[in-house]
Amino acid sequence: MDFRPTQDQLALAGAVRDVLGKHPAPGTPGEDGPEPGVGGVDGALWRDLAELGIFGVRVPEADGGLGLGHPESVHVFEELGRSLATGPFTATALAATLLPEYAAGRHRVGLGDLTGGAPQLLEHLDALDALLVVEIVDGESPGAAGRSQVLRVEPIELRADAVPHPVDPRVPLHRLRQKPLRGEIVGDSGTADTLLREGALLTAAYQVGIAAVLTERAVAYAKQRTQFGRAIGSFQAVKHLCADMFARAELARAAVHSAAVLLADEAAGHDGADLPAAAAAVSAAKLLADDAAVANARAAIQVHGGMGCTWEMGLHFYLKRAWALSLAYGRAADHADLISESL
Amino acid sequence: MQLRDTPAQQRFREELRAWLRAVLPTLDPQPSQDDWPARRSYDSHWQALLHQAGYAGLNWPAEYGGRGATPTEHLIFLEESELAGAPYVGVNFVGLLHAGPTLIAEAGPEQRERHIPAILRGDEIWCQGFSEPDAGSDLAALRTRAVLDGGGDDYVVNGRKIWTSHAEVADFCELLVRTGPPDGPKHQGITWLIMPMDAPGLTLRPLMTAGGSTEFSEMILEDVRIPVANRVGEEGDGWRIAMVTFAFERGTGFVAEVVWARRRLLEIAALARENATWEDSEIRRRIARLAAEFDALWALVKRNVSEAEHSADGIPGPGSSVFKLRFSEARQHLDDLHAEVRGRDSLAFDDDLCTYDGEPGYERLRSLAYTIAAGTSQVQRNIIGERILGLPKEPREPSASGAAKGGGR
Repeated sequence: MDFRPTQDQLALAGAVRDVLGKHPAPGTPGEDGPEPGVGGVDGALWRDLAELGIFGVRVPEADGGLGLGHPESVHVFEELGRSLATGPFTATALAATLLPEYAAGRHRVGLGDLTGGAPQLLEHLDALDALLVVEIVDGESPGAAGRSQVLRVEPIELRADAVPHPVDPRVPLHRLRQKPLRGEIVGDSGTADTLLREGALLTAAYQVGIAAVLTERAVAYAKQRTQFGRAIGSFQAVKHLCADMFARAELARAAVHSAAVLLADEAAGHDGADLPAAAAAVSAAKLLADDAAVANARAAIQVHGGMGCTWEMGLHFYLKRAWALSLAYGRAADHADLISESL
Repeated sequence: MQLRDTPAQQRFREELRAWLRAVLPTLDPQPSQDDWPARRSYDSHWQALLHQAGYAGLNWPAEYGGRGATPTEHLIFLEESELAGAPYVGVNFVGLLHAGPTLIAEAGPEQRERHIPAILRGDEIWCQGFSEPDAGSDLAALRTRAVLDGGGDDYVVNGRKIWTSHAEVADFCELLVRTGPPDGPKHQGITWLIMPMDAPGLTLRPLMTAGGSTEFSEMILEDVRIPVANRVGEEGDGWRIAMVTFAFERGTGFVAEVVWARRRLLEIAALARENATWEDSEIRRRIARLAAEFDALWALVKRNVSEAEHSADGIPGPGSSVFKLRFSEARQHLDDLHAEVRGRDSLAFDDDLCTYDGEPGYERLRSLAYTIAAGTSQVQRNIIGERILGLPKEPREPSASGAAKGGGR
């Protein structure tokens, strides 16, 4: 056992961080927040990240990927979360494991999870080249009725209405008006489960990035802001908010790393009697990471006081993203139910 | 980044499993928690078995009779012992987890030779005399006074110590006393002494816990004479020496309990299915959330152990404060949840259990101390805030003597 990240994993994360540093997201430190209603994918950032190979981390080298595993993927996605990078990163990386043609990141692929029933909101639809849809097969198809499957759909053929005011101003939303969808079946229910599970893991890693970077921002502010003649971080009331933020981020990261390792081991056919099942571990990671991101966003705003609530301070962008991601790839209740089945 | 055993670790695990399978059925039933002489002989017998099998002082250096095992092997030992239902370290807790490691690090050759083999064999029981009625979280404010007598051979000690576990059966006490001036810098002037528990002038007053157990005592010291030869380290250096033990306590003290908590959670889930509280989705999801929390804590333990294994000194770092903080709170939620699943059954102790261990009502009351003992949750948050995050310390009240100038906590 050596549960420390390897030098290579840290180097990969560092390379991603360097690229992200060249394309700071609006609302991150030093950048003006965007006007309400302006958002979407940063094309230059997407190209630079594609060049690093982040969409094909888990795609075999023979198919144009990096040939690495889940532990590397979660390092990449934690960095995306730290920088609040915007775009269909998770869905495109998932699509590449299914269809290696997406490994190079030349196409933007979205993912719609329609298994949860209405209402159906799709992200970044106008920016997509392809859309994967996970849906429950209708009763009409013999044999497969009631099971899930994965469809590849042409985004341009979809009937959907743009949502005029998405809460996360940088993630455009469309409301789907069409059912049934027409498309090519690219995966069965096993594939659908795998996609959703791996999507939950990557999303959890992104949430850890949000939780960690907000801890750093709150701590930096608490050291520099003075009231009553001293740095507010010297007051235990504020210090303890920061300590809890750190604890949430650390614990969630341990859960995400553990789930990544277990998922990789399971895929490789290893399992240990002492180790929890990978599926439950992914759900645990998602639960803890969602909680860490949302709670830390609230705490960061609290530490920043009145300015924390302003548009220009930008902390609200993290909170809005954390909220949205908490509802992606399984809500808390879904993951809790999944864990309870393993007990 | 991986969690699997190396071949050597797997061998260690399998040998340990085989040994536990063979030896556990030979043990007598655990004695009642209040029968201290029986507890001592039960725990000492277990320690002697561990010693014969080469598992005593697992992480202690081989030159002091330990096994020189790695932090990961130590973790495997704690995990497998708990999974197999092996006895806890019990009355040997202070000797093996506090006093022993401190003596190895700081004591003179004669002191080591005198005590370390006896602790390893289970022949010598230790207790801890650190906290005082007026020195809890602010341990450095301790006032138990030690003065050299005229001849200079003995310290004469007066004062009160509190929260002393296993005092009734202990042979020796790791005692922190003030040898410096009472109004001097508080972190200086503290000295670490080995006190024989049969010393005249020592009175024990048992303290009953909210759960009804007699785990703790208050020790009243009136002109207790302790030979100068029993001093560990220099006079006035006791604070630094005591800090060595705290790192060990936070690092390993609660690890096996995560394994226990995960198993207890499975029992609670089984009970909930049996009595249909499982149908309540709120209960079911609370159980699941706690399972997630304990799995994450177990992962955090492995992260901390991996870091300790590759650090220069092998001592757990300040990251163990995160573990202590979150585990102790999760542990309380676990016992509350158990009570909720049991419903009105939780209002009665289970009289059929001759021991308190595992009795849900008793465990619920016992867990009150988890967020207090070994550094309160508030102290852990200060440690995280100040030592890890680098936030400024709370300004101290200026005092006439300049006592606030002393170093760290």
